[in-house]
Amino acid sequence: MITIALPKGRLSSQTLNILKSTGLTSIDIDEDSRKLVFIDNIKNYKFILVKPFDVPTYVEYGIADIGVVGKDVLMEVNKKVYEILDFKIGKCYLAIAGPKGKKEIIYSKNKIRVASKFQNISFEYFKEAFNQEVEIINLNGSVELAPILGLSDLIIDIVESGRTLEENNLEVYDKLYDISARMIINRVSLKLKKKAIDEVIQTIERWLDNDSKILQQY
Amino acid sequence: MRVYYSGKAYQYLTDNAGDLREYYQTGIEKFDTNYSIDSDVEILIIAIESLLSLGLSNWTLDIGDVNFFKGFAYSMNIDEEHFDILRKLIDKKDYIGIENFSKKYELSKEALNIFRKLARLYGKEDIFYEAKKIANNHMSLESIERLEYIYNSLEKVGYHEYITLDFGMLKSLNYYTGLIFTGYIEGLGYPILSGGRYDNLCSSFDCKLSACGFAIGLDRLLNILEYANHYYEYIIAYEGGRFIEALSEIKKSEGKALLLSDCISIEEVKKKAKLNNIKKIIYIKNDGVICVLEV
Repeated sequence: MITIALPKGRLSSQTLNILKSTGLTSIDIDEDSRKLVFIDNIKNYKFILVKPFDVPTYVEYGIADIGVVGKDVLMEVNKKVYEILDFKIGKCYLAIAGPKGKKEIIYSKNKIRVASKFQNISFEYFKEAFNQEVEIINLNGSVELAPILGLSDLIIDIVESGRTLEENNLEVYDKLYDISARMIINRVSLKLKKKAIDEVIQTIERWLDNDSKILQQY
Repeated sequence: MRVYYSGKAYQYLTDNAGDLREYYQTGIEKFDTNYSIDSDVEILIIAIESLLSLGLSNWTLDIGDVNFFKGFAYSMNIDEEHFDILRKLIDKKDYIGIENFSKKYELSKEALNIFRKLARLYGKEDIFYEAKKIANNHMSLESIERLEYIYNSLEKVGYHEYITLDFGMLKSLNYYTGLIFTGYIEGLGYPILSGGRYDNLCSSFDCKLSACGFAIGLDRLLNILEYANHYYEYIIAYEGGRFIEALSEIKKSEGKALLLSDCISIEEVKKKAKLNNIKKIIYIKNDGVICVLEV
């Protein structure tokens, strides 16, 4: 049996839709129920629902053979897993943002404070890109609040439509990395369950190829 | 010269699953005055025999060669810094990362194609054919020939079924100079055994020797043996005062039995057996009667 870890939230239903339209599975996952494990006995898949930041951990330890998770999380946790497929869903980008119209003033400060859920990404970025002292403040959510309330000068966060920023009087200063959902695979599973895992990869790859061709036609 | 060791090892970074700062490791090394491919074969066979002796069912020894990648990177004049970034991307089989890298450093389409293929060059012996198709330089071709010779030698002695190939497996290029290999066991998400050829290390100590070896992580091994249910055929347990009888039973079992050293009730023993999927219990009661139970 192949175990697939899905990130709780919007990405899990989108991923499941893809898996269903490729014919890999036909089960429904009811996210409102408290169930965390769903088994497809016909196709021999087990789906587990975990927090996005935990997906790479489950896959690295081999508890899950396959995982689906955003590139932002993968960059942040940097686990030893194979990263084979771009699902091309959950598209967004990581950006530096701050109060509207204050980019120049803030970038020229001697010391900059940055709030983010992505501590490691922030650290790596500022180490390379900025000369002045940067303090990174780790938050777990509602990062947009930090510059409004004066906890930080800037934030590094994922931006999808930019509406949250807009509504909080913030704007994107610099776009850093494009993000989308990726399929990751445990190192041992890829070798020891090669046949079953190759089938999943190839099926999805074929589907993604066709799908993008269909999209291009319109 | 052949060396073996077993003991504590230390590392500062413990980023990955299965990593501990202080851990137990056992390993072997073989040093030769001149490189000999026979040493590669010998070391691999010892690695296979070591894993075989664990009695586990689903495992593999994955082999590769760092020079396959090096050959491409040298022929494309990729500098040292980017060399390592690319190595890590390929080792992670990061398809998208490889693509972004080649865009950023303006690699040719052909180069991108090669590195993407490299990330998927794993499997059984048919991979040799695929590897030869993309090898466009002497160094890469030579590494295929070397691996093929090693694989064929193992096949002749009947060890090839335990081998899988991965040309995209890339360990530290500063340390390893040729053959590299990793042992994987089902149920443990991270490697149990790791090794390779390192012909440059000894010259750092003013002594030119060619070397190949491997190490097994003992803590990792214990993790898997705990989970490997079929490892024990039966449980031996005893009531107070019958420790000596239990010891003689465990000696008779020749490693096939698990001794529960705390005197626990038969109900608890049954629970443990169920938990570990062990079907048979030998229980020594305090009057010395030995009961054999099937569960």
